[in-house]
Amino acid sequence: MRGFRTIVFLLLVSSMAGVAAENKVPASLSFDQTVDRVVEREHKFVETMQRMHPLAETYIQNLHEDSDRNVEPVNDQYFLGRVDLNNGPRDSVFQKHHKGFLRHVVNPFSAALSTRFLPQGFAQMVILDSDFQKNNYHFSFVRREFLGEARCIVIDVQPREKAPKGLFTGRIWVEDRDFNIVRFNGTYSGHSDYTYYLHFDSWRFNLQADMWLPSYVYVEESGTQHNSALYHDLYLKAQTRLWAYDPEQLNHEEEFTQIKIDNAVDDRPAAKDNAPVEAQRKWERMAEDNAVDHLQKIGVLAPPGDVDKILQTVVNNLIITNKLRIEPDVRCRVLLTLPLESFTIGHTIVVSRGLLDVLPDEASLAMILAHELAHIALGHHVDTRLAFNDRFFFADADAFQHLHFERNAADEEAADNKAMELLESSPYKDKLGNAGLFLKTLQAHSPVLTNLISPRLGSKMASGNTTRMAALFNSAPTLERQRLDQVAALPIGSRIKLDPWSNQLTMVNANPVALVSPREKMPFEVTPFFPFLSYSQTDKKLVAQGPANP
Amino acid sequence: MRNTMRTTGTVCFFVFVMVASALAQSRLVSGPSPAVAGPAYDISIGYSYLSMPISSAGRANLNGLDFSGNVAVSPRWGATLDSSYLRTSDVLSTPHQGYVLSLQTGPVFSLMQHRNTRVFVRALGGMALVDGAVPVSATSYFHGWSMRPSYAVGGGVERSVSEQLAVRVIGDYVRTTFYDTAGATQAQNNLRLTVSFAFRLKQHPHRYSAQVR
Repeated sequence: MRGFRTIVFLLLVSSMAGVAAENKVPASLSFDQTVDRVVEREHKFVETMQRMHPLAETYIQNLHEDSDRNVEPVNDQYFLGRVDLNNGPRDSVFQKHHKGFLRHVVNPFSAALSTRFLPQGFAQMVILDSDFQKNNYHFSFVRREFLGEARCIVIDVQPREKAPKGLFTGRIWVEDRDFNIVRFNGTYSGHSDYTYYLHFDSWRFNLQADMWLPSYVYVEESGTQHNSALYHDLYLKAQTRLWAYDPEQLNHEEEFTQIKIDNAVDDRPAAKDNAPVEAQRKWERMAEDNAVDHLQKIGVLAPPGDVDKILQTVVNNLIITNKLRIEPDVRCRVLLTLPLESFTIGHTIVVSRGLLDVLPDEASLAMILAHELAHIALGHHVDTRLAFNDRFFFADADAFQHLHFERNAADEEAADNKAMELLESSPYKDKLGNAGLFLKTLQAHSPVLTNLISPRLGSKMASGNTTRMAALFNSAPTLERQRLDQVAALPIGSRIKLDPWSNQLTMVNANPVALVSPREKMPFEVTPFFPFLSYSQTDKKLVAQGPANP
Repeated sequence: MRNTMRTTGTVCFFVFVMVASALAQSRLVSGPSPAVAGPAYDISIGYSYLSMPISSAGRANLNGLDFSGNVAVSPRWGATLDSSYLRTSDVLSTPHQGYVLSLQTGPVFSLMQHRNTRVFVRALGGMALVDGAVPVSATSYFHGWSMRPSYAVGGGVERSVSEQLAVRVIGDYVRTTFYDTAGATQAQNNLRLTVSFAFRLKQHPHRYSAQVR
């Protein structure tokens, strides 16, 4: 009997090992079977994406190479929109201004007669093929490769000769655990006279268990060499980032399910009523909270997190060293968008992700925060119209038209002067040279990178011959582009990492890199993505417990 | 006669619009959305042949050159400015040298595209200067010129030879006006065949802008 049990046990173990081997060791699959699995997973991915409505932000820099082979941006484009892939890619684009009626009357053909970048074309690059069919492509195995902790099968994919137009051509990386495409790099074939497909490198992250979703797309076209004859010198770099996947973030009923009643009873002995001053403060705080909550709800403001704490530390340094007394407390939040801006909503300082990305050091961050803190210290109020919730009854895409936090020139000047006072008494007073250099770099790029430097919600940091904090600008050393040790502004994406599912921000965990040439300084420039792919925590647990049944 | 012209013109216009609208319901270019779109410009030059009826006398054959500039403003729609100069050394054996100079513009609609071949229809309107002769007997003829509005409807096939060069063959019905033997103006129902080379022009990046709706 014991022998029988042993045999049964061994058979069970060996059969389970067989199942495990089938799941864990895809090498046992033939290449053809692997491709079948990839195609199947891609169909599931397309179905999943049709249910998702993330925000997609695209930033494009058109480049020019001068006679000395220096490549610099000559202009830029920006769009932010919510992606809808249900009937082909469509975006509801967040716009600061609608085109005026007069402009349409004067030149009704302006859109038709200019070459333009299409937001939906950039959103499209998250989809390899909306109807991925094995018989439309040639697949050829290239090698195995690790992208972060994801072991990948690298496959070249080319459309067959008689396949329809517009199919992907390039290379795909397939993680070998579940056969999800985690990266694809190439373009779509068969552009027409009127339209053009760009080359792109599209990355997906394992954001949830068994769910790899598009997160980054890097686009590059490098001059005339590999270019359509129709688009002379199409020379650009662009980034598309996607976030706000979590439907909970967008669910306006979320608060209903998350009601927490802590300390419901006010146990203070006497203070049951609010004095007029206190009532005014509460009213302003309500307007502030409404605006902050709304921005977070529509996915353009990060939820409170670690990066806020870093900002808060710098603000506290300024407050303590200047012995400021501010009621209610100052809070810091991060706007998830790229355009360089900072502003205050009441006592909440908001800094954009793009601005945090390009700031060279802590003193430069202190300069930005000191300016905003100065607005608060000077009592520049929040617009209390926002205390009424009906002010937020508008489409998400219209947020930039309905919410304004810019200050007038007099307030800005007063804040600049006050900020200088705050910085003079702060631990940053001897380190402000780089902050001035940052402003100089910003001003130098402001005529060219107009979309990067145009705020969507706050006041402009630089325009024409003026910049914020002119005193720091004037006292800064000379900007020397050839000096490797003078890094006045960083490339885009240098500091902040965004979790596309939860919108949480963390600092980039990269080793410091020594520059070898001035070309590598790349202030405010778009660079390629090379993220470290990792499996989501849930997937890791599944692996630790053993493979699931297929 | 004027009523006939007007009716023919109206019918042609509506047929053109209805066919175009119906076909526009289907997508010309299936597949992924492009990231860059913009007008595609080209200029073309070619040989043109016109068969022109002369009132009560037969048809005159004219040959000449055709120049046009074209712009595609969407995958289906475009516009063209077409100019042609066609002549004959003797109009219906008279010693008169006749010619037709026309300048017309109008929309172009792509019916279909398969690989490098595109089929399109177009409707043009403009002016035509017709210099001709009308034989009244074996030895005598009237001659003169008339500059009147004219229109054309037609279609063609375009075959891309390279990214910048294409060959087009276009057939048009062209409506012009000339005189009859009584000296009264009369509509002419011409047929025009054009074979041309189209040279596509490049776009420049400084014109690029973001399209936001």
